[in-house]
Amino acid sequence: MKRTTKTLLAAGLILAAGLLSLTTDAAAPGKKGAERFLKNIQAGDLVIGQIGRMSFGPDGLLLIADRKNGSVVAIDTGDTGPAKPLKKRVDNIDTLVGQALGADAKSIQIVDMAVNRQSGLIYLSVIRKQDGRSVLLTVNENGKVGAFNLAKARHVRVKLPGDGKAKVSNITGVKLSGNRVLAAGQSGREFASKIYSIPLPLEHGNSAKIFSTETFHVAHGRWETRAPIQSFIPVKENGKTYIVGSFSCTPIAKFPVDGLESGAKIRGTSVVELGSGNRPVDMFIYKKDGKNWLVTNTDRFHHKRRPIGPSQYWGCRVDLKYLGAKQINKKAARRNVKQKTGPAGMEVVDILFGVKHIDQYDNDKVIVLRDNKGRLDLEPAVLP
Amino acid sequence: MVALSVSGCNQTPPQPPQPPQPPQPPPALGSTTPGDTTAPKANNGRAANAQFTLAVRSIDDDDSRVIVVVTAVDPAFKDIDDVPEELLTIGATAPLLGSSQRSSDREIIFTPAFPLLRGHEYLVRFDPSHDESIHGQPLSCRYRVPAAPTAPPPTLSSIFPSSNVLPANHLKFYLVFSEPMQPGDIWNHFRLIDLDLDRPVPRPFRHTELWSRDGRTLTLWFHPGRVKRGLNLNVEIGPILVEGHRYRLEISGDWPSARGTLLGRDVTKTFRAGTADHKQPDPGTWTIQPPAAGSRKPLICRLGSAHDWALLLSDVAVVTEEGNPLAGSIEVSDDESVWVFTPRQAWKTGHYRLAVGSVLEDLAGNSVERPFEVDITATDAKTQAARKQAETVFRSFEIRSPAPPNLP
Repeated sequence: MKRTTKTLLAAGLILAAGLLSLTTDAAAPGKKGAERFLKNIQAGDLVIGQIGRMSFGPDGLLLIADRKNGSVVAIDTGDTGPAKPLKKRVDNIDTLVGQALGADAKSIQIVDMAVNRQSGLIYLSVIRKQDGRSVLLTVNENGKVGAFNLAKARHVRVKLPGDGKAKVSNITGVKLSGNRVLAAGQSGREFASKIYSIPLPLEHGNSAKIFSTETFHVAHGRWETRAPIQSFIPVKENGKTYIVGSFSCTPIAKFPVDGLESGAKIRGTSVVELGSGNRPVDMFIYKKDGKNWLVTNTDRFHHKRRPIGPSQYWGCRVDLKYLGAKQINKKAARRNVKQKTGPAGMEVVDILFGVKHIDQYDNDKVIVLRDNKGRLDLEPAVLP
Repeated sequence: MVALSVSGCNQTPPQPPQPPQPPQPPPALGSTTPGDTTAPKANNGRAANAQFTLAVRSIDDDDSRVIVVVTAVDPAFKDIDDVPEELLTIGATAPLLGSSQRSSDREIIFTPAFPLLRGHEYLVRFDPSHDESIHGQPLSCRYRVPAAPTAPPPTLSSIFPSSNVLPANHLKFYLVFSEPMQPGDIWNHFRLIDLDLDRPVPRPFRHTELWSRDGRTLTLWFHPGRVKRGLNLNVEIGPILVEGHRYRLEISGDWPSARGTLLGRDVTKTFRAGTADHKQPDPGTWTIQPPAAGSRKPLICRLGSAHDWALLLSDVAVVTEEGNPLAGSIEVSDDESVWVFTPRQAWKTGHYRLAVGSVLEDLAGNSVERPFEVDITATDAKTQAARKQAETVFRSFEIRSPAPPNLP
């Protein structure tokens, strides 16, 4: 198998604000709603081995990572509105979720949260630890927890190839991008991650047209290592698709993903350094006052040693102009770790302190899952 | 098709009318000890009064998959279109998620959205006050799901690497359990103790859960940010292991298996940090001992140093000269420095190749393809060549006929 290596030269790339939106072209124009993204739809009998990261596409299309089975599951939820966003904070959502499953708050794990922008309904991927059961729950406008019936879900499942050796042990993200779904996978054996590109429509049982790439990043302009992606978003720039990824040590790097051959390697370049001791969780882009901001929240595992704020969970926003910067890798823009803001266009966002998960509802309106002294609250918030 | 069967709570003949009784306050709920096989009481999940019978019925003989049924003597439910949520519930501390439906004028069924937990006790309630068309006294009872049959506790059967000397830039451990363990928030189950300093190493692990598909093998990584040279964590707070120091990896016995049984005892692995390893594995240096044709004796490859246990099993193989894989079994030994292949069929004479995936790593993450860290400022040919390695590296060997016996 031939491998190609492409190096992204970020220099000279200018991110045009109006070109950042990710269009989701209909893969099957004859069909309506989420069906147009899917082929060979299965009705019912959906069992998710270990539920993981999620994201919403248009028309109620929900993408779910099944970590145990190394696959991406796409569900036509039929949830297309009308919009009824969460009205107010829901205290102790972990307790409510636990009770709904017959368990206590410590016996459940909320793995991820996704908000359907069309309906405002909040989806939680949850694992009941005592029996390892994966469930999909919803939280409505009034904070009421409900169950999404996976057993009756219209869905397709696409396996991520593992060279027949099941190397994908964790799927760190799955998102719709233009005419494909992108997923990032981590291996339990190699210190590497792969990015999978699955063309639309997603066809149940199909795994043939999947491209796989490996990602690298460079430290201090000298040491290049493989680098598993912790979180990513697809970004469209001048007609080309890039992945903006965040890594364990919080560099933010950019990778081109257009025109890749199967097995190709892509080498990203660090364009922003947010500081050490953090594990990024979610990423998205919003627009405010004429600027496009990249938002990411992280779990700071060196919080006790060197806190940034009142919680180990914190978030910041970065002016997207940094992603087109000429200064890369060793000279990548670095957040001033001793201050809340600085350099210009990098800011710690106060409302993201304590936030374990965040998803957009409408540009600057977000839903956050916030750690409150060990308990979890679900609340609507507005970005600065 | 779902078959309903009785589970300690089932259909007894209709009871004669009795005066209404106030609902009995249910006892405290809770879970039983894992492994407790105490049989449910005879009235488990059943209550009745003059008007209604409340019963929990299992589905397909599985006591954790149930429906809750309330049956009326009279057609008491005939005027109900939408069953109020609070009318018929089952829960531990609050009602479980699920759905209710009126199956007839005399029967309403609640189906929990998810199976109940084994060894747990639930409160079942029917409260007609939630629908004004129903008149009668509420009913409640307890339902205890029998615990899973007692089984031996899980064991941590192997920790790889096996060696008690690991490079100072060691990257990961494989923990192999006898059964799937409970995932999620597992990091409190691990500690790394620096025995020379007599204190835990702060935050040494990468908090990313990487399980094998069968849930039995966890890859436990040291945080790469502290292993990689030049990276912020490595520079700011130093590497995890210090050459010459002794360490103890501890796995807590409080970790439950997926079925809820604790590991039971702490498991430790003690090792010493040796010299950091920045050299790539080189299959060209391996010593291959081919057996003679006509037998199923193993092919033995001595690798010269320890390699990644999992990758030795998944990414090294024997192929024919034409490239077809040879069926057989693989074992690794001598602290993962010896790779042994036993063919399913007897060896035939001919030329074979050892196919080594370029992803094969040593203990420090250096692969056949590339070092864990590549100095991109280096211009030497070896470094550049390392970055253009093929996916598979081959070593040829020949299987020959057995030597003729020495004649007298």
